[in-house]
Amino acid sequence: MNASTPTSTDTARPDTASPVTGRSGAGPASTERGMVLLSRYGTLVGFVLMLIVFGVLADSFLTASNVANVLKAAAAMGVLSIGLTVVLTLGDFDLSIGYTATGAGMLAAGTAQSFGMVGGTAAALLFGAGVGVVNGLIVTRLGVSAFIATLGVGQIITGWLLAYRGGVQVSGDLPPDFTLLGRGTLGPVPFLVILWFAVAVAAYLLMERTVIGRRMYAVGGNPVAARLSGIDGKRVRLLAFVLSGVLAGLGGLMLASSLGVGNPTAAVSYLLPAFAASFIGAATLREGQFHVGGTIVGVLMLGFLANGLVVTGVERAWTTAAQGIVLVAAVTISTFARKVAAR
Amino acid sequence: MTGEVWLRVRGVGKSFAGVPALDGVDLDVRAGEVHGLIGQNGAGKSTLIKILAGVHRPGAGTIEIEHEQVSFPDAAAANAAGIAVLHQEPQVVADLAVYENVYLGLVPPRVGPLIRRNEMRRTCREMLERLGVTLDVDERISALSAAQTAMVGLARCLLLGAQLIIMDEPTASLGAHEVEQVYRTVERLRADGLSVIYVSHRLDEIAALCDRATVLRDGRLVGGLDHDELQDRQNLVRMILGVEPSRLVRADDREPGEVALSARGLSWRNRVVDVDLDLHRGEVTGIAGFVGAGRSELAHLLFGAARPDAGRIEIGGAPFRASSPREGIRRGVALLPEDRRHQASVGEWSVRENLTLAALSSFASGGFIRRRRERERYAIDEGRLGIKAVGAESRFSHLSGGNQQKVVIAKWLATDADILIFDEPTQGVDVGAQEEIHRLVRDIVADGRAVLFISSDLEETLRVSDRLLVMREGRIVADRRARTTTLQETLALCFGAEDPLAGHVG
Repeated sequence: MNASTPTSTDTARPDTASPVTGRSGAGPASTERGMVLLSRYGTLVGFVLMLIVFGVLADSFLTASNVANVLKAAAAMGVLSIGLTVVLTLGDFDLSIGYTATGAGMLAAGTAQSFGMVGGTAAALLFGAGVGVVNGLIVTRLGVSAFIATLGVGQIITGWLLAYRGGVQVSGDLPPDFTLLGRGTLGPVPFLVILWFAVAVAAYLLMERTVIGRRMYAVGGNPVAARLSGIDGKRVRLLAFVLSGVLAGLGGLMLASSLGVGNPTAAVSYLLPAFAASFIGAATLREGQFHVGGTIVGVLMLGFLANGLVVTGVERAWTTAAQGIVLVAAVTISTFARKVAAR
Repeated sequence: MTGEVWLRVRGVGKSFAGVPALDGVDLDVRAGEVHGLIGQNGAGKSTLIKILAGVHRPGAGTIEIEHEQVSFPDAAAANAAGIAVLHQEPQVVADLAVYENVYLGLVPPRVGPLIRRNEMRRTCREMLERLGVTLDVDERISALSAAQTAMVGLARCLLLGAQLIIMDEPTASLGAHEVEQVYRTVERLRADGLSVIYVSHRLDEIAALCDRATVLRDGRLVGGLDHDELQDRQNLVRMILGVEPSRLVRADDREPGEVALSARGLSWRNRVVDVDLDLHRGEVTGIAGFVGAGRSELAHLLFGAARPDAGRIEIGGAPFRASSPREGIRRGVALLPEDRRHQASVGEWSVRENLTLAALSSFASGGFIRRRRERERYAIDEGRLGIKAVGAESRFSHLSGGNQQKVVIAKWLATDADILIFDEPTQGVDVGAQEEIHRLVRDIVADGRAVLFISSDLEETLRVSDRLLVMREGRIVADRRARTTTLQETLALCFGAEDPLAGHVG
C-alpha cells in the first residue's frame, strides 16, 4: 500500500509475505486457503451460478410463482430430509422415512374420514413417532445396525400399506379442510413452505444451540468420549430416531394434504433424494459434517435443478440423472478440496 | 561397544517463513550406538529428523556419512545413503499381509511381469529374524498388536538397507509389556552394528536404552550426555526445560483431610480383585503398576463407567451404586481417561466445545447453550492452565498433546468434581507440559479435593503423590507414603519380586 513510504521498504523483508497489504504471495498457503474456501462454499457458489444460468435461459424461471412452486414441491421432502439429517449426525441411518411418510399420509386420510383433520393430523404424527420409537429401540436396545433395522421396519410398513384399505388410495368423504395445509397460502407464500422453514429453523436451533443438539453431535463425533462425559448415548440416539419418525410423519401429512388423497406409494421415492440432499449439505459450509442448514441448501439445489431443466425444455426423465450428477460432483469437489487443503 | 562416528551433523539450521526451527545443531552418531534425541515439542527434534530423512533440506550446515559429505534431495536419497525412519504412526496397509507391507512402495522381486511372492516371503522372514521377531509373514497387519506392527516397519527399514534407523516415539502408543519387545529389538539392532536415533518423551526409557543422547531446546543444541549422565533424571529435566530441578513439582506432604471416596472389596472380572481403597481430600493417591495390572479398570469402577461384580463404594459417606458415568459425574467424580483421542475428546470440534461437554447444563439456560459463557470459561482456563491455542475456536485435533490434555483437564474442572481420577495424564505430552500438569494436580489437592493419579512413569508418580499404592494382577499389593519410597522399591513391587531393599531404605 505505502510503497512510497521509505520506512516501509526499509523494514520489509523481501521473502516474507506481507499480510498488511493483503497480497500474500501465491505460495502453498494461499492454495490451501483457496481449497478450504472451495470445500466450504463451492456448493453454494455452484447453486447461485445454477440459478443465474437457468434465469438467463428461461424467463419464467426466477418468477415469484415459479419459485413458490419449486419451494412448495420441495417442502415435504425437505421436512423428511431434516429428520434424516439428525439421524445421520449421530452416525446412524433411517431408511424407513419414505415408507413412514407414505403410511402417515394414508393414515391421515383414513382417520380424517371419521375424525376430521385434527384426528388425521394426530394420527400421522403419532404414527411417525411410533415408527421412530420402534426403530430407535431396535437399534439401541437390541443392538441391530440402523441400516438393517430401518430397512426392515420400512418393509413392514410397505406390507401394511398393501393391506390397509386393500392397497388402494384413500379418497372421498375427506373433510374440506384436509387440503388446507397443502394448498393454502399466506399471501403469495404457501403454507407448506412456511411449515417447512419453521421446522428447519426449529431443527437448526435444536442442533446448534441446545444442550440436546450438542449431545447429539458428541455421540456422532465420538461415542466413547460422549459416554465418558456423562452422555446417555442410547437415549440420544432413540430421540433422534423419534425426531426422524415424527418429521417423516409430518412430511407425509403435508404431501397427502397437497395431493388431496392418501396414496399408498406417495412418498416412497423421497428416500434417495433426502439422502442426496443431506450429503450435499454435508459438503456445504462445513467439512463433511451433516447439518440442517446444509441439508436445506441440498434440497433447494435438487428442487431448482429439476425445475430449471424442465422450464428450459429438457425432458423430465433427465432431471433425476442431473440430480445424481450434482450429488456426486458436490461431494467430490468438497472432498477433493479438503484433501488438498490438508496436505 | 560402539564404533566410529557414522553420521556427523555440523551446524545444521532450518527456518520456516523466516522463523528458525533449528539453529546450528551438531550431532554425532556412532556405528552400533543407540542415540537418544530429547527435547520438548518445538525443540527442533522433528525438524532435525526430517532433514536426516530427506524431507526437509537444511538451510545451513553439513551432513557427513562415514566422513563423506552428503545431501538428500528426497527421502529416497536418504534411504540410499543408509538412513531409514520408523514413524510414530505406522505406515502400513491394514488389509495387506506382513510381507506385502514390508515391500510396500518398493520394487518386488520379479520374473518378467510376475511377482515372486515366495522370494518376498523369504526375504521378509530374514529381516524379521535379524530383529529377533517371530511373526507369520502371511498374517494381515490388522491382526497384529501395535508392537508387532512396529516390527514390520523395522523389517522394512532393514530391507531398505538402513545403517541408521530413526525411531520416532516408537513406544508412545504401546503398553508396558509391548515396550519390552521394542527394547529387545533395539538391543538386537545395536548388537548387529546398526545405529539408532531414538526419540522419546519417556525419560526412563531414554536412560535405560541409550548409549548417549543429545538434548535440544528451542531449536538449539543444549548438550550431549553419555549413558551414566543420563541416569541423573533431574539434570536431564533441567537441560530439557532450562529450569532448575529444585523448582520441579513435588508433593508437599500435608496432612490428609477426610475420606472423600472409599471402596471395599471391589472386584471386576478378575481384572480388579478385592480392592480396598480410601481417597482423602487434600491428598494425591498414586497408583503404580504395569499396564494390565487393573489400574484403568479400577478407575472406571470408581467413576461408574463399569459396574463392580462385588464390593461397594461410598462417596462422601453415602453409597454409590455405579450405573453410568453420568451417575459418577453427578456425585462429583471425574475421570481423565488414558486415551485422550478415543476416550476424551471430539477431535474435529473446537476447544470450546470440548471444554464444556461434561458440564453442558451449567453453560445453558432453558436448554439453550450460552456460547458467551463457554467463551468466558475458556478465557479463564486458558490463563489458569496455560493452554496455548489460537483461541477458543481452534480445532482440538490441531493442538499439541500437552495442550489437548490441558483442555481435557479443564473440561473436568468445569464439572466442579471433587474427586478427580487421572489415568496416564502425561502420556504423549512433552516434558514442559508434564511439569504443568503435575503442578495442576498439586493445585487441585491444595483446594481440598482428592486426586487418584495413575501413571506408568514411576518417577513422576512418586514425585507427585502423597500416598503410593502399587497394583499387581488386579490387587493392591502395597500402600505407603510416597516420600519414603524409592524408585527401586516401587519397581520391585510392580514386578512382584520380594522387596529386597525394604529394610535398608529410610
